[in-house]
Amino acid sequence: MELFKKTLFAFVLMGLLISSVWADNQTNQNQGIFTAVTGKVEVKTKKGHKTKTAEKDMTVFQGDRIIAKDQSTATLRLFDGSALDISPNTEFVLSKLQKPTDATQDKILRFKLIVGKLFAAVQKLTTSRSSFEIEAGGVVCGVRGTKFSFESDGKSNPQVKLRVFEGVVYAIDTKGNKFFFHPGSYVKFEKDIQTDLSKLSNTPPDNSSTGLNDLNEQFKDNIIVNQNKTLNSVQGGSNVTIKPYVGN
Amino acid sequence: MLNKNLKIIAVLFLMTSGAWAEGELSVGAVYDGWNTNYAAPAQDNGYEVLFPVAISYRFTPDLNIYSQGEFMTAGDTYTVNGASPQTYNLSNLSDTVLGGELTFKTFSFKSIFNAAVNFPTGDTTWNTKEQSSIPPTQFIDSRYSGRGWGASGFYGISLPDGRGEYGVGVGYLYSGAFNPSYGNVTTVNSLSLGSAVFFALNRVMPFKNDENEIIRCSVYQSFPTVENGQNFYQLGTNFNASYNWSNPKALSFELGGQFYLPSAWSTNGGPLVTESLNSNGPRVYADSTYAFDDFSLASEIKYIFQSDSIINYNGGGLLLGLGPAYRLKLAEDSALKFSAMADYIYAKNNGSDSNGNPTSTEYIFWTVTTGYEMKL
Repeated sequence: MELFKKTLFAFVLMGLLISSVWADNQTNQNQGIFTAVTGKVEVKTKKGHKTKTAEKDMTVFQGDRIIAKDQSTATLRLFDGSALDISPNTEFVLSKLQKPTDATQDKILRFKLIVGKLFAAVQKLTTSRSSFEIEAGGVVCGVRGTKFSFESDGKSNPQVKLRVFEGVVYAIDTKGNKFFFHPGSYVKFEKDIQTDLSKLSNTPPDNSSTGLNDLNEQFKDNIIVNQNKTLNSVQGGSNVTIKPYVGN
Repeated sequence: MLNKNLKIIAVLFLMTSGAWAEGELSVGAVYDGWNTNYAAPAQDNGYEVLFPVAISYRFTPDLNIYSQGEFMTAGDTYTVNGASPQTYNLSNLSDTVLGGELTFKTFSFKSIFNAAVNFPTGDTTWNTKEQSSIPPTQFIDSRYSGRGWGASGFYGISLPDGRGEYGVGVGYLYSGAFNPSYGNVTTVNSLSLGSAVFFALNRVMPFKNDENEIIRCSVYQSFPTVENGQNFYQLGTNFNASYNWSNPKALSFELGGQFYLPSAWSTNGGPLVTESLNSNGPRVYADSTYAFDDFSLASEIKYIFQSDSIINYNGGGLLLGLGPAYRLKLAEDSALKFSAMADYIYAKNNGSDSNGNPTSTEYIFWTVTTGYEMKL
């Protein structure tokens, strides 16, 4: 009986050792590597819950959380050659990095964007069920070999913006509705309401806002572009611009 | 040497632009015309055909360069004191504006700086010629600009306030000398419109579905207009306030009012004297647009209170306008736009009868516009 217990313990110990080595090998395959880092970028590891400062050639794994601080950027190359450009003030989680071990297996890359902006350049997916997806605020965007950016303001009911540069991107809203977007698309999701920003001229850049655009348009309408101040206004009074404002 | 430098700059420009390409080009054709209730043989009518071109190019997410100009052909007919009707014709470019908008942060606040230059590519005599025929510009702005060199700058900053924001801005316009024939089409003299300073404050509150509530206040302070080196006119300070509700998918509207302080005039080259009777009456307006997807219907009402002036045209009157618009999307990055507008204008005391007594004038002004826009 004692011999049986010792033998059993030895088997269990060996099993644990083997599974640990196997698990490490598997994890190492499902990884990403920083190819560029500027400023302060942190990695909170799932394993050990440590916080590390990211640097070039550093490896990250499934479950790790990446935080780019103000004025900091990074590029993360994933195991399949896809790349994520990380903008300043961005936080996201490597939710799933599954590398196929043969041609029949699915490749799955999934990220959860908490706040900020990611630009994704995605390699071709190997099987029909393979996926590359980013989720933010319940909205999931996925691709099949394309370039797109995805950003979230990180609020409780976040405003999420998708811009497509190449290929086709699908988006699944929080109700499960699936939509496809082509190059040139620039879409905002907020509380399951989609707004086509590509339709709107003078889409505000990141540093602008509706209020600033409105002030700027007032100035352009009244002083610069329409040149209202003509001789007529000088001689006989002044002009009044009547123009219904449809905001953006 | 100069050509070589220009080529280098051009290559650098193209290389830079290729790194972050996003632009927009729009071209269009506009026809407008008007007539009045003048009794024959007197006439007061005209037409204009405009071909506007606008291009903007965002070199980086924070730098947008834009330019705008147009070509116009026009025929304006008018009658003075029972003489035979006379027609002025135009076939010329208007002024061209080239500007840039830079967004950045002032401390942690979103900010914008806009600077533009006005190139004098227009006919500087046209604004004088057209004024006898076109509806008073208090009601409808001139569609043409023929000025001299000019420059303008604007700085705005956004101050967050909960879900909304306050915007504060200040702008300045420098207007160089132009129009060698102001006042008399055959007489050569020099006129420089007064520079102007613009102060603005707005309050934007966003709501769901891209709806926005915008409250605007602004002040224009004009400096003296100079003729042949002498001050001769200074427009009174202008105050504006409006309430705007915008909903790109349904009803948008704006209610506003404008008020002018008395202007100042010079007599025979003397100093500017503020007029005792204000020549610019206050005005109120209401605009609305209802959007049904790509189709929309716009309306406008403006009422100008009669001013006290007994020397200058004392204005006063009403404008009513109505027009549809349709946007036809051609592809992901291009669209055709169609719109039309018909305005009825009642301009009090804008004409005179055979005895020289002031009479009111009615105008019908209509506009048809087509435009093509594409992303670059």
